[in-house]
Amino acid sequence: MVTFRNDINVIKTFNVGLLLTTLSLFGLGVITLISAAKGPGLLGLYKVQLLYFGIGSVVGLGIVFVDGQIWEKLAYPLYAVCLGLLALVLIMGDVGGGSQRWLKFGPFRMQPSEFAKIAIAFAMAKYFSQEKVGPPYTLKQLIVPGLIIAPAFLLILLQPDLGTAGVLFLVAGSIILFLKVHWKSLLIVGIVGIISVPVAYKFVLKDYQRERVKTFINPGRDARGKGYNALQCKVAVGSGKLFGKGYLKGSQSQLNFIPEQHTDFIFSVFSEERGFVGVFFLLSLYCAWAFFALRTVARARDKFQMLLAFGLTAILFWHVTINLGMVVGLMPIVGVSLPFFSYGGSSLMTFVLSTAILLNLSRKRYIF
Amino acid sequence: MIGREEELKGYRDRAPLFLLVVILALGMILVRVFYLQILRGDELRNFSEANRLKKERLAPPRGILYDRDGVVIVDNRASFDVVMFSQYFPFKDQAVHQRLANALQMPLEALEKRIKKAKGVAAFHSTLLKADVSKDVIAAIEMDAEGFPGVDIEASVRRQYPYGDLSSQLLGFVGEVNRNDLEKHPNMEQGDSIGRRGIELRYDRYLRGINGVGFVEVDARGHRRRASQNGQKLLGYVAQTDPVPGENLYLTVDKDVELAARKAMMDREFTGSVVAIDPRTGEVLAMVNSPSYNPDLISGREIEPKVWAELSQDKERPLRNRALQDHYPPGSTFKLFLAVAGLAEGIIDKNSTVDCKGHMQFGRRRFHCWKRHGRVDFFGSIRESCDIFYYELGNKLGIDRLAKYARMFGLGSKTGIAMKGEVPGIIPDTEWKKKRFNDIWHPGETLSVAIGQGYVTVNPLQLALAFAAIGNGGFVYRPYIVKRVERRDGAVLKEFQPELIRKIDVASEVFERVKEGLFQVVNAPWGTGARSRSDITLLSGKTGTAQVVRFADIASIKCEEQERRFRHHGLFAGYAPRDNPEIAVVAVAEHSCHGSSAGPVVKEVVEAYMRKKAEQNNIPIEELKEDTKAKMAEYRENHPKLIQAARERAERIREARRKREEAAAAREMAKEPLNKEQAIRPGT
Repeated sequence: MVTFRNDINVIKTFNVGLLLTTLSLFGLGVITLISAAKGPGLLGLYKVQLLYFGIGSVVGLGIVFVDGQIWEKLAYPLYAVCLGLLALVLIMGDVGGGSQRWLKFGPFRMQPSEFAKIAIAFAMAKYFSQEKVGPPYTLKQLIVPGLIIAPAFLLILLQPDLGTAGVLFLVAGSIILFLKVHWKSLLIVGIVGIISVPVAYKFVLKDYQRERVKTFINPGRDARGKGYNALQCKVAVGSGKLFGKGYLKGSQSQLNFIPEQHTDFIFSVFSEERGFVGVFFLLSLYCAWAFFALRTVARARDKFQMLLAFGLTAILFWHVTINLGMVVGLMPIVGVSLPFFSYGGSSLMTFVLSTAILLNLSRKRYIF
Repeated sequence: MIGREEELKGYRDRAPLFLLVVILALGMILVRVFYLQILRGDELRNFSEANRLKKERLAPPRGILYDRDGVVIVDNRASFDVVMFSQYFPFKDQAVHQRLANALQMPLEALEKRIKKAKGVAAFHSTLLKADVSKDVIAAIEMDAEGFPGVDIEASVRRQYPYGDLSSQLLGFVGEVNRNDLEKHPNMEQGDSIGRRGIELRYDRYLRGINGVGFVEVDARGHRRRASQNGQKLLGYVAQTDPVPGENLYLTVDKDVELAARKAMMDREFTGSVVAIDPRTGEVLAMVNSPSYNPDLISGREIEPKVWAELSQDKERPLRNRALQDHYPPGSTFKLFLAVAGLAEGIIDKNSTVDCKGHMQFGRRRFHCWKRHGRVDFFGSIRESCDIFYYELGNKLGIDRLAKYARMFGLGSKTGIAMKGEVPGIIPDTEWKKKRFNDIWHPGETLSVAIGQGYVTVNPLQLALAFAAIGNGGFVYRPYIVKRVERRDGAVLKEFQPELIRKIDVASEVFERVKEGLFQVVNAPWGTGARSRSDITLLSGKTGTAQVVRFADIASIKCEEQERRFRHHGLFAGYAPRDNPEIAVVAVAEHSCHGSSAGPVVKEVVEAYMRKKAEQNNIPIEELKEDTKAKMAEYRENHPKLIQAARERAERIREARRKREEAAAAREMAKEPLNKEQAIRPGT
């Protein structure tokens, strides 16, 4: 399906900004990963990350040059495949860290829940681009899309992976908000949400999750146990000061004060070593990425492509916000990765492929 | 389509709005980071630089090993290791390296090698320079702390062996976990120790214990500090979870029996193996191999490569637990199982006799006996180990029936002891030959097997169990080495019980006859094990000579004149006391030429056991001696024929010798004396 028509247009309309910010983010990410993964048993992990990026880029390159029309046809089939994989995980998945999240293919491990986020964006975009009533939506009208995401949401909740399920919910919610929701419905959702928080805390959350919430509210409460990570993380970030301690010189991270510092907590390493200046630069890069991605949204050819582009942007946005919020202590600890930084093949692949689809959508604007 | 484009336009304008949302969200995070890094930056930097609470693993002491009487045979001691942190270490300052080498009392080249290794290690991770240093070295390092930047001393726990090389192959040793171990055991951490061989390996999960978590304050140079106010202020308090010590093992071995076995082997400079078990339970009382090694040399954080190379390449294989990892031809000890088979199958009875002419023709081959016995009855065949008797018996039994009986005693398959690396040995039969060589079984091969040669092999532990089964009337037990597992506080976690594998379905008279034969081997005149007679207990047993290579073609050359590696192994398997035996022992003396040479080893082990038991029960040794003497006298009284025959035989031999001497003297008178050269030439 690769088409090379209108070569001039390809160059002219190609979203170079998005490509460059993505490459910058990943480059910075790998450099940070080298520093974060110096502990025993982690040396050389960055090579694996590079390998995944290479694989992702090759697939991504194919995606970029595919005819953009096919996404709409593929939307529901992709979602169905994803549901199949999620079901498979529960049946024959690999167990790690108390939950069942991975599928094994020879030497590769894949986390279908990561790809589910993309699939949800596809399914929502497809549904709302065909839907006839139009916004603002009332709760009643949202029952059908709710039923569409419910199976993916529940399958991920069963693994259990509350963080990813939450992101899934937020991504779908963002698309709906983008289209506009009736204010009364929003109010009802808000009220129900507030009421359900204590209920969920009591009945849905697991013990360790409740501990995380408690620790968040009162960090000094258990400084040596559950609060230890949060506190050490705070120390790591804060001790970076204006210019940071220098690359590979972050004592907090190099001394293994911080667990999972090469995956979910990698931002603590970055901010300790690069300081406020570095953090400012990194956040600007994420903003730039969002800017270029949203430009694709603004220039989309049709409603489906617009909603898809927006959904993909929302995935990255929520990941960045939740991850950073957790690391700097604005939120309880949730296992959500930092795009292009956290070590992990499936997560990295999700963002590389998202970017590739966005690049593809931006390319197609003037081609009819 | 125009309507759609209008709808789209409405949405397009929303994109900038969402960019604003992104900027707001990330802006909030930036504000928080500003608060932490700029407003509280000094305070937090201070904490991270000057007072760091480092989460550290606290190694638990490994479980202690006790012998059956509760005597400690392996425990722990504190050890101090000199380590370095690469970020502070002056890699280029040769003068420091030289001074450090002097302080550590190690050659500069060796130190340089270690330092080189540390270059690749991440900052803040310690690299071992020298493990288990003496107090002098610690003092030298601590006195000059400023002179050795980045060098520090770490405490760790090391194994300690009060009895040195006693039973090292059984006990095993520990080492530091490597990458593979960490992958296999996700709960383990870098620096943990893990069992590498023997009991340490097999029972590692009991012995290991659980790591604790400590919070150590380290200063900017990685040096430890005492808890300070500052640290407590920020973190509330400093605390830890204590490590849980490993569980203690009470073994079935008796250190005194083991010591006796080691001494008996060392006194004679034997290499080989001694196994002692309790025939009533299958408990292993001793498992001693010779030569041995001192586990203290290799049990710890590091193994000196030279030491390891020497041990692992030593031709005498000191690391090997010969008692289960080696198999030997059982030699004549194997005849006992034929005797049981013959009696049980009704092929022979106690009155069967054979005329031993020193050899017999079978097919085209001539089979030799080690001696010309003349007429030999059943008991004599055991007592004097007549090969001809068993060639004929083996031939009548046939290999498959013979193998069936041998297997009943547990030969040819692993004993099932909870130890790694046991070899099953070989009990050949037609099926085995077909599988192994794709060939038919030749009847002549049965004759070799009948005297424990040819394809048949056993490991020493199997042989001990099989003899225990003869002694106890047919009960084959699974041997075991750990009696119970106890927590530090004395709570019993697991208790191991004797496990009967099978009762050999053979009439009790059969065992009585065979046991009588075994008794005569040691205690009757002309017995091959007469050198092993004990005056404190009634030992029964059987000698065996295991050929390493066949001398048949070079029969004129004596074993002792062979190169050592070609000499026969001497075996002795026995038990005591005669009735209701309490200990069964097998000794293998490699390349010692005769089974009778291994006998005294078994005797000493048995006597050590009897002495200790008497001591524990407050019975004087004299009483044992008198008791034994009385029993021997009673035996002689009850077997007048045996004594009479022996006396007559001795008389005949004396007579024959006298005649030979007379004849020789007569020849001497008549002839010129032989010249010297002729006299020392062998074979003339």
